[in-house]
Amino acid sequence: MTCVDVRDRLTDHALGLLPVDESTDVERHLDWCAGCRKEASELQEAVATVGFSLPEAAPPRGLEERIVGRLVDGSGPRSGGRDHRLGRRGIRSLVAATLAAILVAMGAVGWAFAERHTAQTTEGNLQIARRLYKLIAGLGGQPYRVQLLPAARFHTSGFAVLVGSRGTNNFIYVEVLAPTPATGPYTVQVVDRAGGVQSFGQLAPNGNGDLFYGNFTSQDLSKAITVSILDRASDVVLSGKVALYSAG
Amino acid sequence: MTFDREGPLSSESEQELMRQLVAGEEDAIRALYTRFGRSVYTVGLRLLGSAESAEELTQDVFLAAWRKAARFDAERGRLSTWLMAIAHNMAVDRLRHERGAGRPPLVLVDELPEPDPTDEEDALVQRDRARRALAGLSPAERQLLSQAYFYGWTAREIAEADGIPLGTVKTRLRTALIKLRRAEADHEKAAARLAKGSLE
Repeated sequence: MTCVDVRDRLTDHALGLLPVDESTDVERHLDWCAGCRKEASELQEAVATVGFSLPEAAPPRGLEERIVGRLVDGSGPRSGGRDHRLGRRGIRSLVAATLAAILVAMGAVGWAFAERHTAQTTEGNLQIARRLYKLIAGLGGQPYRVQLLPAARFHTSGFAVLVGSRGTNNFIYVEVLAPTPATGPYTVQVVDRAGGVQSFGQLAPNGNGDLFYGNFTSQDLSKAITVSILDRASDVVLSGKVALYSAG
Repeated sequence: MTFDREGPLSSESEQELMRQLVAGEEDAIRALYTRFGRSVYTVGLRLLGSAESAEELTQDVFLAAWRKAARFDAERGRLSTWLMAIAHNMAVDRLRHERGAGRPPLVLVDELPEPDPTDEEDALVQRDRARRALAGLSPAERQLLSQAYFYGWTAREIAEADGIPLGTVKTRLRTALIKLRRAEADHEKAAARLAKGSLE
């Protein structure tokens, strides 16, 4: 897109009315074009003025606590009201999937995926949980889990498993349902406590219609606080907070 | 670093607030909500038409802000603008998504709940300034902006509905926004002069 193309669309862009693909192109252009970025910023400030002109309504009591709880607890589902964003398959059994992920890390890809899809019973999960802890002990690290929830306009869900250690056995595994709309390729990004951002590779199809990424890294993942999946425009498609993984 | 609940934040403070938000600091979440929760909820109520939808939107906007916080750049714009853009874009997305299934009725300005009498002075000043800026628009510009902002109509949809050439709609919308921005900038300069005078 040229500057002329972009400026023709900046009004609709500021008003949030551009189709997704055009909006993505405009955002890309704004990343490097200071002139268009300045104009876009001014138009957006003007649009915000309309919002600020409204007489303020009082939010319901408890909304602040619900928001704080949702963010501090790792962005669980929205409290109250409907939640239609988790996709028809919903968020899968984290335990079973987590176990499969670690098994993948050990190089048993085919077996692990087969195991995951037949391990949906409690007994099955427990059996694999025992194996998981044995495997984690072998890696010598602390396991973490991340429930990935979609950004507003996407329909998808997913999870990530991190194993953090001071050695070279840090491991990251991510699996997500193919997002709609499709805006890939998708990359994995991890933010740590110090605000450092680490980018990993691209998600790849796993044969079940899902996308995954798994690799060992020398980065210390024990300090990770969030995992995000970004699309080709660097927009966040899914994100989640890192929490300690426990066998339960 | 802690954040005052009132008064403008410097761009450095805004950046720090977002850094703490990325880290999941509860104080940062509360500071952000205290400053902008009402404005976001109001946009949701005004565009989506129900308290339930407005609450859902507010929760989702703060979650989106947390997810995107690492990419917030105070040099590219104010935090208030950034957050209100997220809120408006998400509300418009829903409006446009629901349009086919029957859109919920709009809440008229007169029907909005009265603000809390303890409403912070800063919010009142900001609202007054925004209203003065809007008053500087022509009736045609206000109507176009209203169709786009509150109904989520694109320039093309407005042109078709009102029988106005598309180019005219685009020009008027753009002119309206530029006028709003200039009026805001003039108020900011005047406020800065006043503040400087009071210090001297």
